[in-house]
Amino acid sequence: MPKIVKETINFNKLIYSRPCIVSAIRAYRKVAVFSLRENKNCYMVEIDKNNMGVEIAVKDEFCNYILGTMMQ
Amino acid sequence: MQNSKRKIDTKENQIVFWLNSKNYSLEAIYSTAYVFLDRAYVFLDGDPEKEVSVCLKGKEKLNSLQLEAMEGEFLNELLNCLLRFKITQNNQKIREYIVASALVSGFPRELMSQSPFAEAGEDSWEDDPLGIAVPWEEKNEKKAGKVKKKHKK
Repeated sequence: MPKIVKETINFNKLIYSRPCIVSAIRAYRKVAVFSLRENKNCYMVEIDKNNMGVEIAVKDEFCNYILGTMMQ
Repeated sequence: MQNSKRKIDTKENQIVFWLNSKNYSLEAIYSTAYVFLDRAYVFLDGDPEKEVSVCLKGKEKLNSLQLEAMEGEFLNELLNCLLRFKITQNNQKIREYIVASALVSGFPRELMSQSPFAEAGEDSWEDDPLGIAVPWEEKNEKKAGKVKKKHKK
């Protein structure tokens, strides 16, 4: 039975913008399964690496990608 | 001076430190984070009005000294970015003026006569209404002649 790997990242709404997060999800959609939710203070991205067979640090690379798009 | 508020986690290969938003603008922090994207995983949090926390996670395995060094480099780069922003703000008007004049010089003459820049475009480089192009000797020839005559008398 494959191991379920789920991680949640909270992005502060005052620092990260929603369009950048959405574009990052679009870019990484082949690497993992993402779900985006939000509350008053932050955007919550749940990353599910299950069955994708990916060994890279998706969470960290994903965060870097968002910061990269924030500068554009 | 050492940054007192920091947390080093060698197990996670990361360092977290806090920056006072009064000293460092969020734009400068973004720029600095962008510079570090190839060396570390960067995560920002906190309140941009008060304090922003920066989490740097090394892409390669680093010890505590190396993590501290990375924090130092981040702070140095942050100062560099702040200075660049300051210079950009100070030079904004002159940059806009240079770009505007460059664009205006590319306009055709027919368009220029109808545009608000028409008055500015009337004078050609050969016109010299203030007499700046006249050499000093020529300009002062008459005066010098009068002075010489006075001395002779």
